[in-house]
Amino acid sequence: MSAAESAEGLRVASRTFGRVARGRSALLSPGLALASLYLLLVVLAALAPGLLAPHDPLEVNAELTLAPPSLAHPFGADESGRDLLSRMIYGAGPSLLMGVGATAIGVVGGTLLGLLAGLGPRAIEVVVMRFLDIGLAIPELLLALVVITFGGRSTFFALLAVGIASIPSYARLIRAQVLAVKNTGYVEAATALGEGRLTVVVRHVLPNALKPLIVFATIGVGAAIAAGASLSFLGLGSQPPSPEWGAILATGRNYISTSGTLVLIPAVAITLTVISVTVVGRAIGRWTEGRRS
Amino acid sequence: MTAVASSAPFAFIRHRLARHRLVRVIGVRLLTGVVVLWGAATLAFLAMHGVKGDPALAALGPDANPTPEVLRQIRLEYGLDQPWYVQYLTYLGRLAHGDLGQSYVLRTSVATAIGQQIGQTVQLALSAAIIAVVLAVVVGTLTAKRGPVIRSATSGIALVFASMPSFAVGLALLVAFSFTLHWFPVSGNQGLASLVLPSFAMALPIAAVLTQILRASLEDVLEQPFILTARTRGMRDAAVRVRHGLRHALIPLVTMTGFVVGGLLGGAVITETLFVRQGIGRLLINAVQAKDVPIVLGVVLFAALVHVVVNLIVDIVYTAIDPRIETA
Repeated sequence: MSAAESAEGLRVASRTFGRVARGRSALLSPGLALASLYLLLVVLAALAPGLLAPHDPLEVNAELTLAPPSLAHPFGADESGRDLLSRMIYGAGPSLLMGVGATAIGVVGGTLLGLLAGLGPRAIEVVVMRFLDIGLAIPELLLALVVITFGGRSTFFALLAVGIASIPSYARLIRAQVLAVKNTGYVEAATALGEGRLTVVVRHVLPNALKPLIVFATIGVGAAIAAGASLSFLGLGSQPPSPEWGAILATGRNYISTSGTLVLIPAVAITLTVISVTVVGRAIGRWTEGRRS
Repeated sequence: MTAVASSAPFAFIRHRLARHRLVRVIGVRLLTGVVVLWGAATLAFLAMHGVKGDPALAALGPDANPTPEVLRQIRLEYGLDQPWYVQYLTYLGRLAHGDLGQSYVLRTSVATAIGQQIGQTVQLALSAAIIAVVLAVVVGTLTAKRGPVIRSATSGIALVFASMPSFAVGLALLVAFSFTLHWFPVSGNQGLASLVLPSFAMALPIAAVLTQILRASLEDVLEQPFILTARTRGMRDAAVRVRHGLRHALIPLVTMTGFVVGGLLGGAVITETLFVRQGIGRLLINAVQAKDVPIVLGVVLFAALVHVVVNLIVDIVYTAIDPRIETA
């Protein structure tokens, strides 16, 4: 399964994981604490890499070429003798930006289309729904590849591609929520009280339809990070020597037989980020659910 | 449809109703599928002709510097001198005949290029799908309702594999089984041994999701009264799980087919690149890198077709095995 694809997978999985985990939150809290701690570290590295990194991520040192982990360089050095730990720390920013940016595109686009499909006139609903059907018929990674074919190979287009590819799933979720909220008593009451259509939508429908989106979007950030890393891995996202995790991994692949750490460390970092984001997203889901009941 | 036997005199009516319903379901789904494909084809046409500047220049490749004479020749050849609606209808007509156009780079037709690569990808996808489903069924059946320790352990492992990007799974397998243990080859298309690691790399993330879903539905089923009845008859636990539980628990798994197929298609792109295998995924990546638009759009349309056909089959199977389900 591709990483872009796993966005959907993770959403499905988190639904069942959530179901399994319900009522045993005490058991999971050490995991939640670890996940939060790891995410905090990643966010810190993204905001202030200079504070944490022991070296310059682009500083080339021929003597250290493919050096194994040591005290001075805990993760070793890459094929140009650049300190891997520093590159990983500087790579947190682009990876996190990819996750948050792509998710923002997906959520905004998905919300607009979902509202149109849920509240618009019948004709618009039909057109939007068929449009979403097309989007959902094509795996997210393939949609992202189409955007890159027409856009180009860069970090920006990779972000745009992952974001656009996730729009159909978000739109479907929003529409389902809008349809559910539309028929609730409080919306009926607000309409009966004479509130305008737009007021009802903005004050009542939108906030309640967006609530479950928070959990999905949180988990979606993890999936988007993985998808962006996949594109970098395919040589279609961030280009070397930019210290993005997927790009570090893609270059490291050439040295996998001699220095496995070059591949394993970014792979583990990406995986831990996705897991942490999923765990935190599930916790948020449990809290919001608890508050509702 | 199993209840038919008890009401023998009206059996034929029930039977005809059931058949009528199945036909209606197929009809509606077929129509939706055709609309999806038509829409996808229209978007592909727009992408090829609307966005990308001069298609005649694009057809000659990025480095071409043609004379006006050559360009006119190309326009004639591809019908680019025709009005847009003629081009559009010609395009749809060709698609209906399976003609996806010419590759800009490969100098073959897109259909031929896909045809040459599809076998390898189907082989990989099939073995991955079998591994994923078998793993999910075995692990799900063994671990359902087994107490908190086993539940947390399998949930945790499943979470890791569902979260891991598939290239990370593949790389981990490569480091462990190719570079350290030397059990399997690193890359290539030769023989069964070269199929093992790529199949598992694609299967594990899918299996992780399926296991959780299967176990959740199995736990629901195992609380049903007929399970208790079976147990009071003295049936062994394993037999109860497999003979009674699994049969019902498998139904929700069928709804995941679309997700699995999508996962396999996307996964093929990553896995074939990682393990340097021939296939649709590699074809697509090479085309994206070379900006070979007809190949990219051809593979995407092909993916949409696979999605539509698979979902049609799933709907038919679903309505056939569970007559309670009403389709819109």
